[in-house]
Amino acid sequence: MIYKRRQFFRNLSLGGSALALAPFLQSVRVHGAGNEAALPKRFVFVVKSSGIDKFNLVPEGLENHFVNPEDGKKLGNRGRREGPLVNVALADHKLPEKLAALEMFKDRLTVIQSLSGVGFRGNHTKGFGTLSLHDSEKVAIAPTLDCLLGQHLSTGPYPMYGMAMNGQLLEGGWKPEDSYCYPNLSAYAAAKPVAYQGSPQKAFLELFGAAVATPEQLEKKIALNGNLMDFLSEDARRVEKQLSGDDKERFAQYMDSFDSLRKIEEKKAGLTDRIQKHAPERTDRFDSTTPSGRIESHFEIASAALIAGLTNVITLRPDTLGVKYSELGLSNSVHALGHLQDNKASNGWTGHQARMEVEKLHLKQIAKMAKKFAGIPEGNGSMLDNTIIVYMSCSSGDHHCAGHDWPTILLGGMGKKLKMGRYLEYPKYGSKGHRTVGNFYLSLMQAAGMKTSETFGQPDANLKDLDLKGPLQELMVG
Amino acid sequence: MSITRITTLPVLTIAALLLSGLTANAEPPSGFEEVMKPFLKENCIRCHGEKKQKGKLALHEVSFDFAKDETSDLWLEILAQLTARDMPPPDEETQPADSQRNTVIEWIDRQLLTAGSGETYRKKLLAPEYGNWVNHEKLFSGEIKTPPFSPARLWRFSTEIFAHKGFGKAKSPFSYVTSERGIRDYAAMSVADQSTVQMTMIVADSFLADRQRRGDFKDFSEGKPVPEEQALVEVIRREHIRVIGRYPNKEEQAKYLTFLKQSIKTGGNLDGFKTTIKAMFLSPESIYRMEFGLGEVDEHGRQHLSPDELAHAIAYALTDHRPDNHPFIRDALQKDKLKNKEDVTGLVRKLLDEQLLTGHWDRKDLPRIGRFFEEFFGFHRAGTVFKDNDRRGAEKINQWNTTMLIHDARMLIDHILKKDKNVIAELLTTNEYFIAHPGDNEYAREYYEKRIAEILDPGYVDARIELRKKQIKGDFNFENMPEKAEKALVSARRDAEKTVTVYQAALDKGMHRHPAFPFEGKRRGIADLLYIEPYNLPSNGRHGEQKWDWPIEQPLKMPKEERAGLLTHPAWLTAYSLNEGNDPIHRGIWVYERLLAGVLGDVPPDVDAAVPTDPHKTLRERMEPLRNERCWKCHRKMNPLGEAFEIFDDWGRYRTLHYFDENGEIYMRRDNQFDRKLKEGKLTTRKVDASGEIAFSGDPQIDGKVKDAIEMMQRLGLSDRARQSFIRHLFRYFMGRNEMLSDSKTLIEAEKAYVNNGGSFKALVVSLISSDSFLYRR
Repeated sequence: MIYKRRQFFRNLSLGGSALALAPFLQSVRVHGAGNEAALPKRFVFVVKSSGIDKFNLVPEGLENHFVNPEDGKKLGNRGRREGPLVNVALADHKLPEKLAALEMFKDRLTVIQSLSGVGFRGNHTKGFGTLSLHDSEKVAIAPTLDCLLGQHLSTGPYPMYGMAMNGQLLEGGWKPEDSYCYPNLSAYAAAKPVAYQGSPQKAFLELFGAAVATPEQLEKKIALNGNLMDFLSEDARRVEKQLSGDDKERFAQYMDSFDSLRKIEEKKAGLTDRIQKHAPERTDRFDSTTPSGRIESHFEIASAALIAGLTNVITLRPDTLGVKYSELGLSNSVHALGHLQDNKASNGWTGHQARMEVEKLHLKQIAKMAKKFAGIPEGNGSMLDNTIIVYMSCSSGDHHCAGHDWPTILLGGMGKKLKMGRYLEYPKYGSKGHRTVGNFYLSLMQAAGMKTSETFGQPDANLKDLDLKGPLQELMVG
Repeated sequence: MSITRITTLPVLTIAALLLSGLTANAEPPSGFEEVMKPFLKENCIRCHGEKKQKGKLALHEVSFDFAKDETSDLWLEILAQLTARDMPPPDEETQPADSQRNTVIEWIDRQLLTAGSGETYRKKLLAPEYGNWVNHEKLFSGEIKTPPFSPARLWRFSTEIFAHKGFGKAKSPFSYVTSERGIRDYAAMSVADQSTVQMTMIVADSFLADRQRRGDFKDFSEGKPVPEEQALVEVIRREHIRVIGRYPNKEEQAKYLTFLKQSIKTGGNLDGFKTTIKAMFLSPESIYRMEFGLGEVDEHGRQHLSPDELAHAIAYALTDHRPDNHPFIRDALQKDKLKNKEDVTGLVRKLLDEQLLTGHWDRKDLPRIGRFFEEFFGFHRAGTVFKDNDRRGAEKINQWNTTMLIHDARMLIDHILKKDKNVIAELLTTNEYFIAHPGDNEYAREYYEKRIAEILDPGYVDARIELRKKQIKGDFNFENMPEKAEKALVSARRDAEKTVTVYQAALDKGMHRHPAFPFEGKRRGIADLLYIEPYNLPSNGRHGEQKWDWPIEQPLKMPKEERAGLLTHPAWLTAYSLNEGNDPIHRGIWVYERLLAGVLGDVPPDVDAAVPTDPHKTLRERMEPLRNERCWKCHRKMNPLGEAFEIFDDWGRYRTLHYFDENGEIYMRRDNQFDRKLKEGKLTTRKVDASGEIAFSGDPQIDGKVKDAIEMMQRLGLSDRARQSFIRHLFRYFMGRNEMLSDSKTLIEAEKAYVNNGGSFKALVVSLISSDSFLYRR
């Protein structure tokens, strides 16, 4: 190990930044060859709380199965009307008001409705179950999609990186988290939850610290960190000798972490040039504690981290149920908005409208992020062609929801592996042709080049008569 | 919302485990012919045989190849069904005898072990929610003679211990992975992985940054020469005790000195020094407690904990501090009085006698005692169940103050612990509650009288105004603002006069006015009686008219037909409720698992767990579908227990009637609108049906129907079964693991100690902490 590190430094100093250039060179080579599949692939998951409303997600000119045809009012949670598979081009329809911010990306946008993910408990959130499709609200019992994709795709220091407004879902006296927190969304495996960074300042220092340090400071930092990890590994070995069985197995996780941490630092050092080039500007807006200020900072850092190659998968948790979007004139919490329905919020909006405005606020950030990616050339296109932003909720399609209709909004591309520019609405839960969120996740994994089994997550016994294997054919190219 | 989500635990279908290629193996393992075959024939084959394959399962040609995954999975499922007593179905007339059932369970277990399969199952059983899978009757039968021990082990520090390490308000990297509902700190479930180490680094960084800001590292600033060797050694010793909690031994000192010198050379004075402190932060001893059993080895091959290990084990069993932070434990160690069972008995008894409930109200001397009752009962989670503001107003909960409800529950527990008589039965059956009371009658009276004298003094109003004047004088907010100051004085006068009026009014009515207790070291402040509606008592605010004669002397007797023990306390009821109603399922599970030591199979995740909402029906009526065969197999264990608590609403209020409006829809309002409609005769009522049943408890003496939760608790609270189940949970709490059959002796002795000492909790704790299970490792 010590040898490897020395060699690493030699590479670092002799080659100028030989390693740092590696991803860039690779990209150039690929560009020349026009090999789309070899370009890096990235995912951004934006997982809001309180559900994404389904009824105002239907493009104009299509029959809206989520409202009562008589009075146009939103139907209850499981009340969607019967209907066959809807698979139409968004180009032929006007986007609903909620999606207006994504108008310029109409051809790279796909909206999917009525996938189910049922059987995961949680009154307000499916927690880890959202991305693992297990009954796993608060304790991680299986790896989540973002971590699996991250482990497969990321070549940078972080397999995936998460940023959250708050770890708790329904905190009294809301304020944004100023450190690491656990929003119970991502996990590498059972009992391995991922901590999300709440503070934009700390995320900046962690990810882009190299941008504000001199080369000497950086080299010193790496060397000290390497010494430390060597020392700790050696020290831990003394204890390890006394252990057996389960204890030894558990202790191995502690010992292995020194190696992983060393690798993170080394990989980060390898990316110094890119980090310096793409680091966001560090100003006091990172200290803003308003929801929209915080969300904007998180999106900005996330965009830069992906561009710099620090990770290929980012999960953002833009709000929790306690958040109050005061800048929208709302003194009601996200939770309270979820219960308002047609009643009025503090600023006079109905509950439905207020929820839509909150979603629009997120979608605006998503559009901004997409614009950034679209401006960065990659292969024969742009970074956006190889990046998928997924907007969804941990509470599927409503404030309280069992998961029978789980809407998702996809923006970007996955190297032409996914059909974009579509509105897909699957038949109602339980009826022929119905598909699940598991099928959707398989689509993302396969599009990202992962080998998958036929199903993802725990099966839904109520749907045992349906064929629920494989990805969503309607979403896959070829 | 068209449906309410309620967990259903229906029959686990074994269809998925059907083995298509099931064929009889040539050679069944030993014991099959004698043990398993007759059992299968008598109890299983009729429904899972050649003629009938219920649940698509056939056992007449079952495979014995335990090394194969699908075979071991099938046998594991059989094992689980037998352990949870879900099979044979409870309504079958012929049931296997317990001894027969156990023999078969052990046989399967042995086959799995021999074949080296079932690893996941064995790991799963380490979690607290599987504690009851160890056979209860057997544990207390007295037939097991194995000398008890705990496995030699590493135990990652708990969140609470971390909080007392003196690293400021840093977030603990040591989070629990155990369920929030139950005992949390389990050695085998405590992992330190990359994220833990990363978070520890974050803690170390901010700790170092803070100290640097305070100028702690001046000697190591850049530009200064490297300090002399002796100074370096001193610094290592100082930091070692600061971070790890003790001075380094010679070897450790040398190790850190070499590292410090190396780091200074690489990164300069300051960063080299900081890296060395970080190394201490991340060292195994900063992350883990270690219990290897470094003392003597006995004739059974068990290793006694060394005095130093014992000091740590006892300190962390009762407190969140290192042993050297506790005078009694430190003394015992220094005087070499921590060598054997007698030493431990003496020390623990002394700790309990002198410090059971002492300390700051929020920082008890033995915080782990109070925490046990929280983790066991779970009442402290009352505040985590969200109740919508709109409901509060409409349902006349003038203030939803779960903190105070929890405080009341704590006072109740403290009181019972103070008496230390029949503690378990008292906790489960008493109708003597504390409400808005500091727990100490002498203090309560003294403070009350002081307050009355102060307020009834004719000079009270003037004195208050004088006080306000003084405050205004020193307050820059009032500088050059005579008008504002004048207003403040007017309002101070109004305030004081109002206070006098309300106190006088209460006295005139012959009531004790609640005196608004302030926060002070030993006691939590209690502002007013605004939160007491959940006790079916009328509330009032600071300046409101008092409608309930608050007793200075408490506990007070609640109506016997309304309250019986902690499970009928609003704090507990709320903790086990849902956002918009009761949670009979989890209440039932609680009673079944924690008082009856019952076993539940795993929740089958593949069912649509929804109870339809129907505004015309009560919750109990809406849960009727769970009584179908598929669901009832598991729900029979919990619903009849949990539904007995329907005599309370989800705020914890006792009730006898459900109200329905003109449309026949259930009517939850209790505000003025309710009063009006009631007066106008627009509401109809139905009696609350809270009937339930204790069944399958394993103790025929307590089985039988109950009218409601009160009758249930009166019966359960006095039972052997509940006592033993409580003891098993206390055992888990102190040992940080589930019991094994070999802990039988420890449990029996603990129960004896409790019973022989008149139901003394202290005797119980002393017995457990001085037991072989606590003292020995293997």
